[in-house]
Amino acid sequence: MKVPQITGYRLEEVQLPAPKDEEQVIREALGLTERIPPGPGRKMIRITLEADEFPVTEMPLAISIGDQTLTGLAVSGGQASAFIETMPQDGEQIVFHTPFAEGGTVLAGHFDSSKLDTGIA
Amino acid sequence: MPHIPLKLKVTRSTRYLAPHTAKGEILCPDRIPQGERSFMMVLIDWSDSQRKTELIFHKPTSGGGDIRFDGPDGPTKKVLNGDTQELLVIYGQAPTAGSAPDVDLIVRDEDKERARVSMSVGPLTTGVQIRAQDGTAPAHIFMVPETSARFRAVAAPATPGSFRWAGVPSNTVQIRGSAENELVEVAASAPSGLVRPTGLDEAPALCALFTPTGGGPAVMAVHRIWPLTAPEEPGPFPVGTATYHDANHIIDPTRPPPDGSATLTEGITIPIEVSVEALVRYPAVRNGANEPFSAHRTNYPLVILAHGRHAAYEVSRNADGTRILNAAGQPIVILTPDGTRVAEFKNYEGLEYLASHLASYGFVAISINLNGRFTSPDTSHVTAELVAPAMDVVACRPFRADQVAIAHRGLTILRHIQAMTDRNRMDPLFRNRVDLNTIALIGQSRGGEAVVSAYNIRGRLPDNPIRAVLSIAPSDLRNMGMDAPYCVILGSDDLDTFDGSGLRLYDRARPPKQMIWVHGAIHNYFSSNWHRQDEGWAVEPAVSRPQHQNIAKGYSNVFLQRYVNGVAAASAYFTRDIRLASLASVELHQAYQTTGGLVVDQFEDVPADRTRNALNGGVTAPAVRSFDEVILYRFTDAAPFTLVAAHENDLVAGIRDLVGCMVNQRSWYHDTNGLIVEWDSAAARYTTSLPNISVAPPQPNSSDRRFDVLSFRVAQDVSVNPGGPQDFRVRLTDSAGQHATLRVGAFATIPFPRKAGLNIGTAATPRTVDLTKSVLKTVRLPLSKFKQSNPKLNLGSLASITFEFSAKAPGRLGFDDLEFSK
Repeated sequence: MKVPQITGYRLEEVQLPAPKDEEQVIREALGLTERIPPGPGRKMIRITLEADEFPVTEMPLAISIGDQTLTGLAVSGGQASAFIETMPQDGEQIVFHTPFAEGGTVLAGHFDSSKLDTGIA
Repeated sequence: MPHIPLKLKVTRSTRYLAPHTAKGEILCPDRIPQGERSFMMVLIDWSDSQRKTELIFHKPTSGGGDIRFDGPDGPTKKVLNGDTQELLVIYGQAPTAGSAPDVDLIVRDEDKERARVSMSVGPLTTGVQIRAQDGTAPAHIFMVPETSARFRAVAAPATPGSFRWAGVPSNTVQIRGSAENELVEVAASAPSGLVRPTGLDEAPALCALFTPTGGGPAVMAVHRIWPLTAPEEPGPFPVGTATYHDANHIIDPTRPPPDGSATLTEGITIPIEVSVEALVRYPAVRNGANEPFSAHRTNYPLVILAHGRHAAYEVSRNADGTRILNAAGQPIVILTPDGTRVAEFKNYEGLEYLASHLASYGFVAISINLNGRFTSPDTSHVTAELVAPAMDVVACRPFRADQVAIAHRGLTILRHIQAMTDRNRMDPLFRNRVDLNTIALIGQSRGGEAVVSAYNIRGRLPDNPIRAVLSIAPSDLRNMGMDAPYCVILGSDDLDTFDGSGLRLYDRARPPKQMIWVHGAIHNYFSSNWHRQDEGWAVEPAVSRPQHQNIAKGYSNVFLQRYVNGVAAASAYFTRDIRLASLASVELHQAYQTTGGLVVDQFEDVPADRTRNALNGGVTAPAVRSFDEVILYRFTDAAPFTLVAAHENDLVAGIRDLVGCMVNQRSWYHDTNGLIVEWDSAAARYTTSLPNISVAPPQPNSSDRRFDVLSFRVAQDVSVNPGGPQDFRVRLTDSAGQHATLRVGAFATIPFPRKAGLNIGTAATPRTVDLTKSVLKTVRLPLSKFKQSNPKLNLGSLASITFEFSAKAPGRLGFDDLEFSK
């Protein structure tokens, strides 16, 4: 498996939308009711990793930084974005999880705050 | 007198002076509408001479009615040479003056006039239609060869009268029994030398002539029948093409339901925006863009095709699919024509071949874009909102992952039902031509799971119009079940959904269900624009891309014929009675289960009890090495876990399992409990007792269920078996001790599992994970064959079923779903 070369990070404070009732979402899809915009929800940190290329396959793929699991992981082209609750610390391992790697994991580098192009502070 | 029985005694020639007889008939309405095509069926069989017959439309007086052959400017005379089985087009060119018939149809042979019929042109007060047996549903266009179906002629308005049926060619469409009833049974055949028709107008025809009591004009209905001799080849309808691209739809995250179960939107916490874009293929009057719909039916069922998760951009490739690399060794991403941004790769076009094929069989097929909203700000970045979400594994067995956007794909499919509803209401091309109460879904890869999701989500609301679902090489990330007619197509050499996930979707689905397991088929070739290299295949697989597409086309077609159009005989393609002709060289294995079976054992006792069956009968297994009820699945870990951090070791354990370090049932990937029997002696037996049950054909007026076969699923384990097909015998014993035995190998092959592996290393230093799979296939042993083997066997009082492992030792087999079935 080709190991992505992390070239930068971006961190943003975001407000995740409040969830809706399931039946409302289904009815919106079927056009049985107009879409109601979701209300404001909780604050999280969105981290966007930039790399030369992320593997985009059907295979299991997750990323962790230190002890934090990146939730809501979205991978597309040269970017992977996800949500975390706290700011990563310098030196924490960035690990990719995939069955294509022996042992199931690939070390993609260590968090380096000097690569940040946007801080949240 | 529109039905003209022909008994023409003719003299062949003055040279021989021998009498010869032609027999046959002509079915013809005696009043036809003006300005429309009508039909006349002619059947003439000269016994041993081939002579000419002339049909002439004669006008005794000038003016008034005018009937032509072929069309408005056609001839008034038709000469038929020798034996004839034809459906002739006739055309009411000008209306009859007054109410009396004013055109004569004259039938002549070479010697003299043999018959004369009075006809007229004008509005019809009585009509007749050929419908399905119930008299209301549309009549089947498609019939499986060597099967029969019933058709009913319905006069409108309801009027007493007499009927006369006929079919051409008579060796392809045969009326069984009386041809003069309102309801007839029709047998379809595919005789050798049958020329495949090029369109519905050339297809075999069934005609019903209705003559009202009391002397009203006779009218005739014509129904075309298309023999399903090669369901993977194009069907009778020309294909119209269209596209649509509606406003994007936004799917918001959902909150957990009150019962605490997982959220519909899989824990994805942000809105996902999806494009609502599709290509449409439909039955049309002629091939081409935006051509009018075929008038053959009032409306046509809708089929939605859903592609899988694949990169939303493409790279430059050589003709063989290998990637072209730039000077830096990187693939070259294809850009928009102006070179400013990454171009979107239209994954949905990869299923256009299937949409076109289904349209040619009378379905409105749409292949939808499941990339999600696509944006590309520059030449190196893209976002495709349905491709982007990756995976958060939350459980090992049963496997389940969050944040995979299966539900979002399902909701997008439902959005397209709305898009077609709008078109059915507003768009002049589609208006009322789409049967939105009869919808089928077909998907590949994550699309193959998304169609299951769409069915289940839509099922939460009343009046679910989705009638059937088919998955091709699906993922199984959400651990869903199915309770609609279901079919799954899987390849043994799939390196994408490499864990045989479709097997588990089949296991969890309720009958009726069917599965096609294709030795040598891969993942990406079921799409026409995906490449094997992206799946990890450096060389061509054993099954070619055209064969993959024929598998998808043929089996999708017969599945939809069965469960959308109601052609019951189409199930024969899943019970191995019929194979697709173009796939003779491809090794296929089928699983099939219909409703209404009498279950003997599903091996699902909790706690496991190998000594009792589902009928509470006892089980014995003398001389076997072992027999056990077990989960037929490779993984053992049933504990939920989160992928990373605290539960990271669980994933690692799973990976170790994949490489063969932790083995439960190493070659099994099912989601079912089953029976594993291992033996090394020809004396080994497995007997399950029956409480003197009856599986005999029911007596007239009996409410007993009818069973045709003893059915079970079986597969070889990857261990113990010596290689090659395995075999054993099945004995039925009645309460009086009479018994009959059949050898399974005479009815089905139980193959050794096809070797498969996945390289998790590199090309230079490969490290292969063994992914050889034991796949349960269905064996159906006809009860009639048991009875044939021993006529004294009393199927009305069976006492036991015995598997005798005397044919080949040693052996280790897995079983499931032992039942008597239709």
